[in-house]
Amino acid sequence: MSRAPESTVVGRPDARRLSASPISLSLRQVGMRYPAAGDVPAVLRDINLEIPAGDYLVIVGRSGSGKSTLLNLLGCLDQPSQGEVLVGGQSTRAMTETELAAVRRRDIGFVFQSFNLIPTLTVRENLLVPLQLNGAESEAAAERVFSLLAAADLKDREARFPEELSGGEQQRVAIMRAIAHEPAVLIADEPTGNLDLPTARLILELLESFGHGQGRTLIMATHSREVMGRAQRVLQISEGRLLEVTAAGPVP
Amino acid sequence: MTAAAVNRSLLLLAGLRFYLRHPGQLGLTVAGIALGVATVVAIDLAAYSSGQAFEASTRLFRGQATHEISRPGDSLPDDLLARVRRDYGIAMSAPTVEGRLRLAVEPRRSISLIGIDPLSAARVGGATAAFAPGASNFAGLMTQPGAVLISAAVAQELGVETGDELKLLDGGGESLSIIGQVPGESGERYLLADIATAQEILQRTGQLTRIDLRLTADQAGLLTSQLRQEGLQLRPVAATLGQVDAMTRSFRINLQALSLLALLVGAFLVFSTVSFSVVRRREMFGLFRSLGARRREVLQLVLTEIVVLAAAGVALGLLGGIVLGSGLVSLVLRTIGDLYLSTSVDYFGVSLPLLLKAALIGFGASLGAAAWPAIEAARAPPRRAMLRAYLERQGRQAAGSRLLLSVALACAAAVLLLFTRELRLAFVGIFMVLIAAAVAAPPLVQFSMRGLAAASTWLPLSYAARSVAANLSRTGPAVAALMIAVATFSGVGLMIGSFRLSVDEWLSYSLDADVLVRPTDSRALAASGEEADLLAELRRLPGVMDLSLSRRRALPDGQGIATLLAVQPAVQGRWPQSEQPRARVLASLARPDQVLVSEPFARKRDVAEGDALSLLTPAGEREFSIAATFVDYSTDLGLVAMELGRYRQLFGDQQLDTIGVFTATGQTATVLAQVEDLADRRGDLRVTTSAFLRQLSLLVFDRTFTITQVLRLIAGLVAVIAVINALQAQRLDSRREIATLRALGFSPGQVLRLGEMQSLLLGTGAGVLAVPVGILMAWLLIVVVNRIAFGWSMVFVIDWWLVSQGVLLAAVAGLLAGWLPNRRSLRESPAVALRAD
Amino acid sequence: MRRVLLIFSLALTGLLVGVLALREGSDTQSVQVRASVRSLLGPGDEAGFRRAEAPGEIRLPRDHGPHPDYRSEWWYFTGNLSGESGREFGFQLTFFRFALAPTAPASPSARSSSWASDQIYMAHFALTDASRDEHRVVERLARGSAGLAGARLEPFEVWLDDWVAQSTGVEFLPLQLSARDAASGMELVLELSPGKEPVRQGQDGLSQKGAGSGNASWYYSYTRLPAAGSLQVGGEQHAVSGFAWLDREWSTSSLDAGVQGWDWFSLQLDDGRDLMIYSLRQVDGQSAPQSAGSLVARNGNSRLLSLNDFELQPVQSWRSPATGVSWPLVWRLRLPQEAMELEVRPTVSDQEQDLSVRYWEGSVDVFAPGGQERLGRGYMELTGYQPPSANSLP
Repeated sequence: MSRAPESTVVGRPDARRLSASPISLSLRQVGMRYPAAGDVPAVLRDINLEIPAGDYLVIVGRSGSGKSTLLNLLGCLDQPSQGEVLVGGQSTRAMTETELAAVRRRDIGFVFQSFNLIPTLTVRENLLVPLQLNGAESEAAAERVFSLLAAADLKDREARFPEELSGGEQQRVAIMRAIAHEPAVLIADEPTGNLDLPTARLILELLESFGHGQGRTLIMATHSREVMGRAQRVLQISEGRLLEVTAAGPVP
Repeated sequence: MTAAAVNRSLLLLAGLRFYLRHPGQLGLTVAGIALGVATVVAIDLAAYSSGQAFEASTRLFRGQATHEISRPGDSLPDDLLARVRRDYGIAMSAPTVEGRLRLAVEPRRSISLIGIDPLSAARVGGATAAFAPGASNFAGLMTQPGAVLISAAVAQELGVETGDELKLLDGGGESLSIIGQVPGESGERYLLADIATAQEILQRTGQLTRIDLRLTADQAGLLTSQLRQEGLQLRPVAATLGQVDAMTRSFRINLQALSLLALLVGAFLVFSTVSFSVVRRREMFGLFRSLGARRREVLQLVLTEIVVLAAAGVALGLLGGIVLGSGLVSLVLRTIGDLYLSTSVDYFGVSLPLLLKAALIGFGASLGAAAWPAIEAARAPPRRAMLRAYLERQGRQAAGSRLLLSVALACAAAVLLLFTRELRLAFVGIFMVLIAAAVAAPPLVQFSMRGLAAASTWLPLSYAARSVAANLSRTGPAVAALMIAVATFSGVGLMIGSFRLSVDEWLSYSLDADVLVRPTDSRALAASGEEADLLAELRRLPGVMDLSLSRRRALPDGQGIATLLAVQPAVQGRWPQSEQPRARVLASLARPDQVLVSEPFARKRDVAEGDALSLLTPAGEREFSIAATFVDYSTDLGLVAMELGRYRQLFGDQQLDTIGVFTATGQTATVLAQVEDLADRRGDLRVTTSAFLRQLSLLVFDRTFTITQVLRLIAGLVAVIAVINALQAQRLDSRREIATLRALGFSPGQVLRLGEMQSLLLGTGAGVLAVPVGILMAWLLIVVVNRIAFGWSMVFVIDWWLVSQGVLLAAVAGLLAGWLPNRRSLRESPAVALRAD
Repeated sequence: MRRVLLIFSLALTGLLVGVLALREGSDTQSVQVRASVRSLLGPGDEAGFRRAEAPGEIRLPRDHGPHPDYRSEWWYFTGNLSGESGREFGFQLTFFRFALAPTAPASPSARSSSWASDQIYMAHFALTDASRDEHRVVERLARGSAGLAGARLEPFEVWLDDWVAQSTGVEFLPLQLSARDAASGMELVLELSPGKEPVRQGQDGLSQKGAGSGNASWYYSYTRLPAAGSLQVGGEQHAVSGFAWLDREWSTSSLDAGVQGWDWFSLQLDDGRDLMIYSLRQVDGQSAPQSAGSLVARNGNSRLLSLNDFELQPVQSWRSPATGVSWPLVWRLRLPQEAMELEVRPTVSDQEQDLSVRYWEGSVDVFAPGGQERLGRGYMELTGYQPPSANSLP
């Protein structure tokens, strides 16, 4: 298994830098419907899920099956209609939006299918955002950004705006941004969906090395069979219900 | 679906649903059009109604009068009518005494009292309007002191009826008794009284305002020459109307131009809202195109939409304009009354052609403003979606050509403004300057925001600055509208401020005497030869240093519009101020064949120092040479000044209007008391202080510019709407970005502050940019427009507090306007916004 | 007597449609204007005015001047003139004064405006060109202040605009009459010389108009004043001479109810006698008992005539095309005691005067009944005649 071929030791963060303690996530009888009330079919139904710290979890399913919804709940972007989400054993139900934001800021990193870089910020500045949010000192932050850029092989791109980058480059930036603040959990929602195959592979490797590889929990929604083979657990979501598929087992 | 299958009405449906889903967008577009149209309608209607009021008061009780005898600025002697009838055999003649008074029930507004002789008015067919068939109030009018008839409008407005008493505001508790109502439902506002009553109430016994005549050509010829010998003028009624027209022309054009300025500001708002709605739907248009819609169809779609929206806006604007106009008309009338001549009646009416015109202008401006965005929409390539980055890049590329266009426009405007002497063209020039500024505004804001972002080390600031810059492809038109509105707000304000300062300064030296004394019956004073005694008595009062004397009358040049001022300046006095040293001015005044002319006079007659001016004296035409021009804001109709002694010698007019009393330092109060004593003893003097007069003049000045302040207010309103518009655009754009920020862990407060910083930056950016534009506009209004329109020159003073008010307005408007959208963006779950991908 | 009746009767019958209309010849101004001053001449409040009643007397020249304490008053000049070429003309120049309110003679007016006035003057100026069968009349109104109109005693003058009757010297006579009107092209300048002495009508000038004290007027007449001067009509100037008649009358009374109008004659006979007759016409067609007259002999001696002394009979009518009114224009007049029988015929039929007050006033010739030989000339006044369909107000 070749991990982050371009990245060197410089880019590999050591344990010392892992500021966040390992965090487990659990869903208890979670249901979700949009809109929250009314006679609409639920997107998610009665889901129970335990994700221990350091897990590598892949979620598969058809479009509209509820993958993204599940990820949003796990990433504290949304609150469930029913049941509870526990982050590090704490229910999010009682949290205010500001507390939720603090959880996101500290413990979670996001990678989106369409990158979602801030178009008006340069690559470097995009990477600085989570660091500044977490109150990093500017020198330390600069150092961190420097190492991230090196790790993602984006050093010559640091002053560029997102629109000036290729899709693969943008996603690399997005991944670096997602882990810049050393979150305990990295959530990626179809991170390769907009990319060609070779680029997708590169991105996956980057995710694995910086996500799971450093002891983080990596949760990824994907269609890629290749990924399923590498994950510790594969969950299939269908009609709002969750089926657990073992990592070794074949995908139906 | 093939190209042919794309149903046009479906396109339109899609367009209209867009607006229905975005009622804010709909509201802003309609409001922009409505505001512009309302302003045009209001000011137009006010100007029109004031014209009608003049027309009505010219016609009212004049019937078929063909001529009038009058003396602008002066009255006619009491016995003139009898002489006209008996000596010249002119039966069809009717006298009028007019004046304004204030009623206790309506202390803030004056009303006209028209005094007629009913029997005389009937001779020129002019009493038709006054007496209903069978009405028997005629005898009451004549015999009952203080009896008046009221017009229908007065009855309605004041809620009074026959039998009621109207107490006068000033004048020792005197009151008028309403003995009837003038028939008819027209909107004119006046009180009608017998001529004797009017003379008594207005304290004008012995004076007539004018005599209306119905003359044959022969009679007119005979009378003209006869009256000339008495220093009186016979003028055709049509000429009187023409004179009103000539006097108020500049004023009216100015008003109209200001209303068009308001429309221009409104049009920018329309432009910004329509642009925004188009930019926002580029993807939709691209989709239409990929489905086979032709460019023409997309263009038609956008234009049809705007016609529908314009219809709503125009309708609202017309209504609002009528309401606003009815409020403005009395303002306009009062201003015209203050500046030129007062109407005898107040009037408000709605003119259909005027409304039609305003509607057309509204549609035209809307379509014009929407044209560019519509073409943009039609140009959308048939691709399903476009990256905004592409748009941004395109915007950046366009910045260069925009600036070029702006510079070209500005140059053209400069050339126009430099060379025109035509008021309308001057305003066209100012409009061009504004458009140039508007074209340049988005790129300039963009540059400055980028600069700010680059200079800032604080990430949130550079982020906010950059998003403002980045969003300009969408917010640009709104930013331009905001900038123009703020520039108008501060530019017009600066102009008024400078003007006021100039007038104040002028008042301080033109009202140089400390106490002013006016004979109430200067005719009698002149006839009795007591003038010398009076002057001697005044001079003898302790504390009196010197006296100045003056006499005002219509300039005898056959036009009767300008004023002739004969003065005997005091040695201590500073009058008249001129660019020349005082001594030289005084010397030239003393020279028998020299006169001074006011700036407006020089400008209007196109004369300068050294030119000849011919005046009609009782002994025939006489040439004078112009010794100098002087600053005078008392009238834009022109003033010619000559030495009093010379005037008396040439014109045989021994009357005096004002005696200025110069007092020793600190003695004004004691002198005033003594002069008042003297006036009490004599009973034929009125005494005021120049301090009071100065106050009064400034009051009149402020009243004159009330309507302009209304325009400023509208500009302010447009500014706020434009900011709301811009921020909506921005907020909408950054919906996903905000969700991302929140996914990254930004707290609601942080997101809110970022949004507010953007709002503030956007507003402030446009506001700061509006500073030079506003100053330039004020400068142009002062140096070009005022000179052309009125011939006044004035100092140009930049009131930085006022300028910063403009910036503040934009900034605060930005903050306030961002309040709701910023908070709304938080209400949405970031998950939803992200899903909208 | 006459014009008292003229005015008050018309006011009563509601004919007074308004004084505001200014009519110049045929140029009729908007009719709706003639409206609002109905009250001006209407049967107003008589309280506060003096009334014509005994004791009292006419004193001349004092009473040539105005009597503002009476409600109404007039100086009524009419006459027949002949031109050099045998052209014949009639003229009327009448000054009326009406008080809108009683003026207390003791208290000077509290009003400061010199325009303030309770007095209204009205004047009628008419010329009849018998040879051309033409008649023109103009009416003017003016307030009695600001020099527009007025009357004074010494030297005598009554005027409205440039229509003036004034003494040329300190004596009342000779009098100069002058009036011109540009629009109608009429002009009259006449000098009236002393002729017969004035005749006091009624009881020493107190002429009873109805039942009861005070329903009377002070009334005197100059029945024959030699007149000479010039006039202009139809663009032609004529030197003229003839005799004028002046009626002076002032009062504060109105007619009795039931009196519909009157027929009034002032005739100057070639034999030197002058005859004045009026008949108050009642609704029942009878003449009211106050109908009267006077016959002035060549030497100026006069004899009063009462209703029993004369018989008056219309014999021929003329229907006005303008108003539709049928005017009895030819009359038979009999004074049995004088063995006098006369026929009065108009010189011009259309001498109808449709002014603030509609009446017929014009020059007439006097013949023997059915005869062709003219016995004299005169003026006739007819009032109270309605067009057949008109709803006359009671």
